[in-house]
Amino acid sequence: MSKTEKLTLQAVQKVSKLARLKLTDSEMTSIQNQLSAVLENFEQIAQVNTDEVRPLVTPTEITQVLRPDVVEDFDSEKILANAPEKAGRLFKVPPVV
Amino acid sequence: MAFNDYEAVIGLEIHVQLQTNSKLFCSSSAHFGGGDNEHTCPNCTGQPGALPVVNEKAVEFGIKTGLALNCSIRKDSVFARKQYFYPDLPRGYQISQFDKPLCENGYLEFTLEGAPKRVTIERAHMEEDAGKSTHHGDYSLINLNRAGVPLMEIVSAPEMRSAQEAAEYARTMRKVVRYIGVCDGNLEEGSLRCDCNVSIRKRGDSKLGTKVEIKNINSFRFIEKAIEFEIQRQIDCKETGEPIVQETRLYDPDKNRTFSMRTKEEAHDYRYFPDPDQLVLEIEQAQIDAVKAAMPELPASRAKRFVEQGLSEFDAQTLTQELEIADYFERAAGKNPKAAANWIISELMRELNESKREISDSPIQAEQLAQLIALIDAGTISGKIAKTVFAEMWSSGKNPDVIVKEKGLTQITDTGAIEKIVDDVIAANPAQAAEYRSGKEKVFGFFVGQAMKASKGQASPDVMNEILRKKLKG
Amino acid sequence: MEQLSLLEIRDGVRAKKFTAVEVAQHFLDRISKHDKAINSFVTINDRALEEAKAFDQAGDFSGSLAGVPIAVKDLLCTDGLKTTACSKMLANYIPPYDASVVTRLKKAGAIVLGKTSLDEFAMGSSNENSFFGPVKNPWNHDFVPGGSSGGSAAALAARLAPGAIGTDTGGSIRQPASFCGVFGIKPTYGRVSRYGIISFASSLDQAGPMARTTKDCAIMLEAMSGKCKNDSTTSNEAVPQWSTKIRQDLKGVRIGLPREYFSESIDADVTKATLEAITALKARGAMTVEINLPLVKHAVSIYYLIATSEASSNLARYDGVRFGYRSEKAPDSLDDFYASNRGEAFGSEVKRRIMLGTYALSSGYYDAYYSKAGQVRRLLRDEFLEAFETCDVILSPVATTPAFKIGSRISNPLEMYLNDIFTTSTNLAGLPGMSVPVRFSSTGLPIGVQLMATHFNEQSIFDVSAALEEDFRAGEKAPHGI
Repeated sequence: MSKTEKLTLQAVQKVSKLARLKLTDSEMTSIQNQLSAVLENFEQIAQVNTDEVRPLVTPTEITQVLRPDVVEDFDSEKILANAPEKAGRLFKVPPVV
Repeated sequence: MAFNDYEAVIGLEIHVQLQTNSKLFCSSSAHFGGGDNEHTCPNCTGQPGALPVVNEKAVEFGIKTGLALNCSIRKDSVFARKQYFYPDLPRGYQISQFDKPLCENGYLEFTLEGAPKRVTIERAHMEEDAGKSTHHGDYSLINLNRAGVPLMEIVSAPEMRSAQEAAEYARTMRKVVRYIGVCDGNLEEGSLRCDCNVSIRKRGDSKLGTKVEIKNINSFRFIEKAIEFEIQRQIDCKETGEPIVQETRLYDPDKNRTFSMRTKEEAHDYRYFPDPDQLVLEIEQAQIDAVKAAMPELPASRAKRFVEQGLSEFDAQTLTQELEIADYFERAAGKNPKAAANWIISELMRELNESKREISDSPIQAEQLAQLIALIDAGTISGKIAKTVFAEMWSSGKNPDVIVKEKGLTQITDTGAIEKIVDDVIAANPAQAAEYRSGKEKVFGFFVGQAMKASKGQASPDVMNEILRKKLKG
Repeated sequence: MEQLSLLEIRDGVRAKKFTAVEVAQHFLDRISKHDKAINSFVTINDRALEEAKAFDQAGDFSGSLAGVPIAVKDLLCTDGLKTTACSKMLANYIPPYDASVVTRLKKAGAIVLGKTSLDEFAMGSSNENSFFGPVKNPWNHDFVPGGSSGGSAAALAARLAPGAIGTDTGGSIRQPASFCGVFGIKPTYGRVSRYGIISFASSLDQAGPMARTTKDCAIMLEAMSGKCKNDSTTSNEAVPQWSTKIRQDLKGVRIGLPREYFSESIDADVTKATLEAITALKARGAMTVEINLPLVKHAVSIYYLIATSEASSNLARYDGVRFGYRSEKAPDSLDDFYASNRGEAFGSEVKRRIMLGTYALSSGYYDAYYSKAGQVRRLLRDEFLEAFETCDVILSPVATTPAFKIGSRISNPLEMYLNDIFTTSTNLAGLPGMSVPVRFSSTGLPIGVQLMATHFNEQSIFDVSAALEEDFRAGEKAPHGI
């Protein structure tokens, strides 16, 4: 892994677009600095030899149990009750096309 | 179509909806329909804190699909999150599979205009469906009943060369998934959806051209037409020097053309990573073996067996087109598969088509058809009478032996009775008898008709012919 | 009554010394009297008395938490009771279901008093990142209670509940427990169901009990643990009755002391507490073993990459479509709709972490960051598992300092991150870890030590914790004015 250069403001803007986060200019700048620092810190682990090492996700040994194919009813009214906006029993959003 | 020296390169991504009771990662109903947002729960609506748990039946269907497509089944496949924002995607990511799909490296075989074809299946992976958005001008509405329904995405290698080949591939795929019972293959309800990747290149080039994706085509005929149009469009672009843009297009069946779905295609960055809410999906060899052992016979092998039973290649293909028809045939075949095939293809299918019924709704059961054929073969009724009986079976649903008995249609094989009829007919038509005797053998048919009529069609034709010939000669 | 342990309250209910209603009423009264100053509760369960009454009337006192009122971190979904994650995003969210942990605690007879404050979406270690304002440390209101389970820790210290539930992704139970002078254990990853707990980082999150005694923690953890059909990452491992098996002496118990954990710049009072704890354990027959964990120095870096990557994905569901905050502003486009909803409702720390995680997973960086972090994580975990072949329990500080002043570190997130140095590796390796109060700083703030054990060996932790509890009695003291 090569040394990370300081994140550019453009890179931060691109990420904010990808993450769908509206940021103010000052948020953008402070995040630019802080992310650069965190990533620079991370540079240290580049030296750890990880050849042939599989990335670890679930850290403990857990036996897999799948779910039987059985339908359980759920009171969807409780779900719809939280909708910011709806039409009948449908979620309403700004036009998507 | 003027292809000049271009060749088309076509690959298909087919989404097959697995017909489980519940969704891929939760217990909500996976069935089509339901009231708006009725088939939902905390999981498939992406409520905070809800977690996915894999449906074991969906995994079994996934393995089954992979085996039917001659794939190798991965023993450690991984569910990964495909991240993008869209209102019908409740968690902001779709749980799919990325670099470790359940099934890889298979193939699908079919025949195209008599020639055998084999298309490579690069991968088949499990994923959940999204919900449905409907658009109403200044707003859109979201129904999540379909969100989380299990799908297999089956990806072919880009190695098909014509629209016909692609359509036949898709038809065969539908046949296979229906045969193995993992999908109902209903294109209208979206149980099977097809995206086509089409590009063109100069014949002999090894480099692929710019790929255009045609999405969501809902009939095989339209797959063929859409690809045909798209190939021609791309050739026209090349010839006129217009650039081919990598984009997603839709097919408009009314105008028979494809059109661009979005003006500017944003480069997606799906940020795939293994879903940390789930373990690696481990599959034991024993489970693969069990699914293999329980695998129903696939259409190609079935057609081959039908040919071995004496059917023509054409009849075998026709009968294996739909699983239900093949099943019907097997139950009707009895000792005379050839006759059963004829009856189904010529009589039954005609009636079904005319009344717009599926074979599962046929008033004549396969077993009843087998009985009818047995009555003919035993000489109880003639082939001609059998058609009358068949018509009666179609309208009443009664067993053929009951109809024959009720209507007294049993074939007359008693020589004495037939001789009497023949004598009467000859006596009533002396002029024609004289003609015959003077060498005009064509009149023989007249006598057969008259005698049959007199016997109400019940006389055994063989016996009657023999007696007629004898008596006419005098 | 507020000085009684959870176990004593349960036994009192069982012996009919008091009813569940009386107990609940007592603590609700204390909350309304004391919590204005501390701000540890976000929502009070207005059905608590009703539920206590129903419990009394049903008359089944056999549950291990019979009639015991508990405080629940506002990160756990409670059916019909507002659950906010202390975010503007979920300020009005009413979950349609109970988290499995809540279901199990209720089944054991517990009564939910209310929901406690946290750093927004559990992101923080000071409880200053709460949409509902900072929580005060009951020992000194100028100081933070720690975080992210700061509300639960503060409520316990202020005797507003005898038991509380926290969650821990990188130290969020242990650090506030240490700052507030209470006990708190993050169990082995997979012990406790995460179903219904608002996800921060799926492969690191675990819920755990916080209480004022070792045994109380053990009893609560027994009720919370076990395979859950709604969480694929829960373990089938049998759940022992830890509370009945706590051993009386520590003869032969091997205490591992990681060289790396004592080389950091550690506050003098914290060092003192740690050394005193070691001395006490030796006096009880335990022996110490020096161990090496060379990769621990990378833990915070790995932790931030993994935690933020998973969080960036887990928080994608907060889009204002099906629930949660929706901007008043008319959107220009669908993207603008999302960006406004999320940009206006998430606090700065949450945005910062989503940004880091999104970057780390974005195309071209996945291998260098998330994947690399996962590889080193495996090596780190294996290093711990190897260390546990030579020792039973690893002892270390919980944090480099006691509680710090409100506002003193908020401008420098990196400094705050480094405070997680002792706790994050426990989550990365999936190990159980506990904070046990030992003594007070020269300024009167509590200090705990951290105990860690190998996967599913919570028993050894409880054994050592009980010994320290008996020797130091640091959890018995109540803050001034409480």
